[in-house]
Formats: sequence, C-alpha cells, structure tokens
Amino acid sequence: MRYYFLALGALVVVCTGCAGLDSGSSILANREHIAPPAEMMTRPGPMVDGPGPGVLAMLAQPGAQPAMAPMPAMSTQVKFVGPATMTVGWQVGSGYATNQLGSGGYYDFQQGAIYQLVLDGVGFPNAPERRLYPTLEVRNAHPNTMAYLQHNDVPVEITAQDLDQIKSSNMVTKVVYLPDSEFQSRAISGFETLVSTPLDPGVDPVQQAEQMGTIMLILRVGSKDLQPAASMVGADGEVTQVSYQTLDGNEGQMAPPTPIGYLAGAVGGGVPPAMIAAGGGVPGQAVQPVAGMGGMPVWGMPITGTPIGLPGPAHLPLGAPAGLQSHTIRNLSNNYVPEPAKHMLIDVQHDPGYNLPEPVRHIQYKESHPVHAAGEVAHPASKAAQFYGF
Amino acid sequence: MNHPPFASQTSRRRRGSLAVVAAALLLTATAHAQPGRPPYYQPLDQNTPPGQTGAWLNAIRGYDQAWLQPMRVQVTGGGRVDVFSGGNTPVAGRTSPLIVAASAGHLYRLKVSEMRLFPGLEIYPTVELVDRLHPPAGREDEFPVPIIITADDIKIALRGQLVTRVIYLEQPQIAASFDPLDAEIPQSVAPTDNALQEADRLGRPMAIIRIGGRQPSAGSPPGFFGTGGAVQVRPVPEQQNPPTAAEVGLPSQVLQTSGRKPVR
Repeated sequence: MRYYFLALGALVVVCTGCAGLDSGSSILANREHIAPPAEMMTRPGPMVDGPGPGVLAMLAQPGAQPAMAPMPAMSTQVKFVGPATMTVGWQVGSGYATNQLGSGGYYDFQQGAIYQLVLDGVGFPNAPERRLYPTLEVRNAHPNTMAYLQHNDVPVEITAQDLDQIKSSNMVTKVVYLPDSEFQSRAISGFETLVSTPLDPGVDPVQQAEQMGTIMLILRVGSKDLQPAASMVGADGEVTQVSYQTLDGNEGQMAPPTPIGYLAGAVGGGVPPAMIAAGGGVPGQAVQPVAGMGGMPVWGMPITGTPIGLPGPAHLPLGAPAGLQSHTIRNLSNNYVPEPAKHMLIDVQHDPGYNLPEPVRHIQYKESHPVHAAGEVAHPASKAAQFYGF
Repeated sequence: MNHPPFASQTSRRRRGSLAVVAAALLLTATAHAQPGRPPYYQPLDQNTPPGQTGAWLNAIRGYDQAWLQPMRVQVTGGGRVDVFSGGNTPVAGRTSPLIVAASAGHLYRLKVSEMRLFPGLEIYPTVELVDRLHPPAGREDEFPVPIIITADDIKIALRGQLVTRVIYLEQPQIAASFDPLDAEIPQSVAPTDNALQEADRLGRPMAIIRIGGRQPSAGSPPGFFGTGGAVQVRPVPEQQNPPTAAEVGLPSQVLQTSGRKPVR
C-alpha cells in the first residue's frame, strides 16, 4: 500500500512539473509579471497621473515633483529623399506654396494632422517630370515611437515604380512605420516602408502596418491635378483664366504648411490626459451638454409634429372656415421597445492579464559586528601616544 | 509459474519508485529554471520615451540636483561637443574629449560637429543620466561615466536608424575579465530583450545614449533639447587624456573608468 501512495505522490509531482513546462495557461504562467501596454505606462491613470477629481493644480504642495517626464510638443521631421529633381511645396490656406524644400530637405510637421503637398519635378530618366499632389498624414507620437521620432527623421521617397503606378491612374499608399521588436532583425531600431502596390488586392496597407508596428507617416499619392488650367467666361464673353494663389520658394516666398485636416484623438492611441470633469475647468460648474442650454434641445421636446416622425396637420385654415375638430393618428406599427436596462454587466478580460509583484511587506535587516574583548586588539605603535599617553 | 524471490521483487519495486521520483524532481526543476523569464517586473525598457526613466528615478530617489555627475564625452576621430539642456541655446561646449558634469535624472541633448571623420556633418544625440556615482570628494572627474560616440554609430544614424546604448556600472561579483584599458566593451541584446533590465542584471544602469539623425529646427520646442538639468563643461584631467599603458599601474582609477560597458 505504501508503494501505491508513493507512486501516487510521484504522479502528482510529475503532473505539477509538466504543467509548469507549458507556456500557456499553466502554473508558472500565472506567476509571470506582465506589463500593461506602453501607453498605460506613460499615463498610469487616475490618482497617479495628474490631478484627480476635485483637485486643482493650485492646491498642489509646493516643491512636489511630478513623477512623469515632461513630454515636449512633438513634431515629426520628414525628410524628402527623392527623386533628386523633386521640390516640395504644400497647401497654405486656400493657396499653395511651392518650392519650399529641395530634394534631401526636411521639415518638422506638427503631428496629428494631414497636409496637402505639392511635389514638382518628379521624374526619372525614362519618365518626364510632373507635378504630384499627395497628402501626408502625420500620426501622433506613440510611446513606442517617441524615442525614435525625437532622434530620427522619417524619410519619404517617390520611386520610379510609384510613378508608373500613378501614370496608370492607380493610387499609391506608402506607410512608414516603426516595427515592433518581434519584427526587427536587429537591436537597432529602424523604420520600414510598406507600399500598397505590391500587396495583394484587398489588403489594406495601413492595417497591415499596424499589425507589425506603429505608424508614423502615411503618404497617399495619385494622379489628380488640384490646380487644373481652367477658364471662366464672363458676362461680356471675356475669357478669364482661373488663377491660384501661389507662393514660390524660389523667389523667397516661404510659408509653413496649413493642415487640411486633423486626426481624431483615437488615432495614435494613448490614454487621454488627466482632466477634471467640470464645465469651463472650474469645479462645481455644470458639465455641458445640458438639455435646454447651450443650443441643446429641451429634454422631451419632440422635433417633429407626430410621435412617428410624420408632419402634423396644417394649423391655419386656408380660406375656409375652421371645421376640423378632431385629428387622430394611430400608430399601428408592430414595434417592440424593451424596458431600459436597470443593471449593466460588462465582462472584460485581458489574456494574459496584468500580474504585478506583491508589494514588500516585511524587511528583516540584520548586521553582525565582531566583538573583541580587552587585549584582543592592538593599537599601532604610531598611535600609542594617542591611546596610552606615552 | 516461476515467481521471483520476494527480496528481489521488493528491490525492483523500490528502484522503480525511486526512478519515478527522480524523474519528477528533474521535470519540476526544469520547469522552474526556464531561461529568459524576467524574475521580477520591470516597467522600463530602452523604448521608454526619452526622459521618463530618469524622471521616475529622480522622483523616487530624489537626486541631489546640486551634485553634478561627470561624464567623459568622446567622439571617435575628434570633434566638437556642445551641450543643450532645456533650451535651443547650448549651455557650453568644448572639443572632444571633454567632461560634462550634469544633474542625475535628466535628459540632455548634445550637438556633435566639426568631426574629422565626417566633415560638415552635425548629429544631435541625447544622454539620459539615470543614476550617479559616489566618488571620493574632490576627485569626481577621475571617475566619469564614459560617453563614446563611434563612427559606426554615426553611420547607422545616417541610415535612418536609432542606436540606443545603456551604460552600466558592472557588479564586481559577475564582472567579466575584459581588458580594463578598453574604453568601452559593446554588447548587443536581441530586439525583444529589455536592454535596461539586462544592464540592471549585470550591474547598475548609469546612462542611456540615443543616437539618431534628426536635426533641430527653428520650431523645435525646448523639450527637444532636454529637461533642463544643471550642466557644467570642463576639460578632461591630464591623467585621462589619453589613457596610456603607464596607467596600468593605477588599477583603481582605470578599472572604475572602464568598468562601465554599454549594452546596445
């Protein structure tokens, strides 16, 4: 019998050990420490990052040091590397500023915006030079790309293959991204460019790049001419050419680009910054929107004359005596409107979930010092006068 | 039937049970000694936004901002180094090599120019000083943190890549027997590894160097140039410029200087 229990105990130990070898949902896996995403590490959350609800910055203790690193306003330095004959311009207000940069030049674009570029002189030995109007989407910095963007420019290049696709009226999308560590072949971080043309039909290059890293730039270029040579015929029959407001960098007319659109806050990700839920930033004030105030409709006020959305009857007698005494509309639709939910339950699950180490609860510090009795130690002769007086 | 003797049967069973127990212990030991698993939670790595590691450690440890940690900045082939700290105007500059003494827990931007190997080129690396040493008073400049910018680093940066180095003070117990006169002993980690954690395993991370090819512009915010720590620039002491074989007789100084190896 005792051998039976010995074998049974050994079997339990074997099973426990084998379970530990599994890298999935095993005993050891539960002991792993798994960090939250990088953006959560940057902005830890309420009561850690920034003032919590009802706490004003003016009430902060003087001399307190914030634990967060100062995040400078980020711009992405875009370097236009080719072709060699290309000059770069961009939309400024309702006009354009051309020849602002030469090939090899760079410019710091504010992040989270889309810019309309004007590329002149895009040509190759076998292709005549032409003007292109691409859009440049500059993504917000992500904690994964912040170090790279603060130390590197992001190159943009139009190749001969791109120009062939554009001549065939195809749209070319170039996504410049920073690969995640598992997609990097070396420890040195470097950008990657994903071009839409060699991808299979139906494959979204943006989605593809997001699966492999963090996007920094998206260049979309096609054959559309945004400054066509058009003319208008006046009332007197005179033909007038349409003119565009244009600044020429070759004549010293420089202007910064104007974004044609801004990216939503969700693009680029990240936890929203700490804020106080209060109207106008002052605690105690009502939070907009409030029904009936600030342009919001009064709660319960229908915006149409009938409950089902149809216009109501005319209220003015159109030249005849008012005789209508009753107007009834019955809604016979077989609608089912359930009762509102009184209790909501949302189950979320991270796999694997965060697993942080237990905080330190006990520190035992022990020092052992040698104890010498009288006569066990000797003083050097040079110190004899100090200790013995002779 | 031919039954074996009782003693022999018992012995065989005992041997079988011992074999099972031994196999079980072996499997258990193997399972608990899996390599590559971090023994504890490390929230910081080499991809943490520049300045955050130093700011966290500064907040936790409360570095004395009046005490400046010397760094010996050297550019391979020679060049000029200017130091920025939270503004677009350099605080000071000298010809390489030089001593840059700075507050721990801050990010600094360097401007490297007039390089003999790269004429006309300027690069702007950053140095994040995450810790400090405790040298003897009055001899701080004899124990600087080595910041070395090599020609390979610059070539990689010009290709659009980012070089990240973690310089650490190695633990004497696990220090490898490298040549103590080598100014730096580069080691590489896999892209998926945490270089900061590896440096922490081997010793004490002192500084993070990031070298890229981005140039500042007129619109660069002050934060681009660092977080505003105090900086002083001094010449390198004579006994460190350059290290010679005669310094082999000064093992305490040379070992301290060369004992910090970068992980990149």
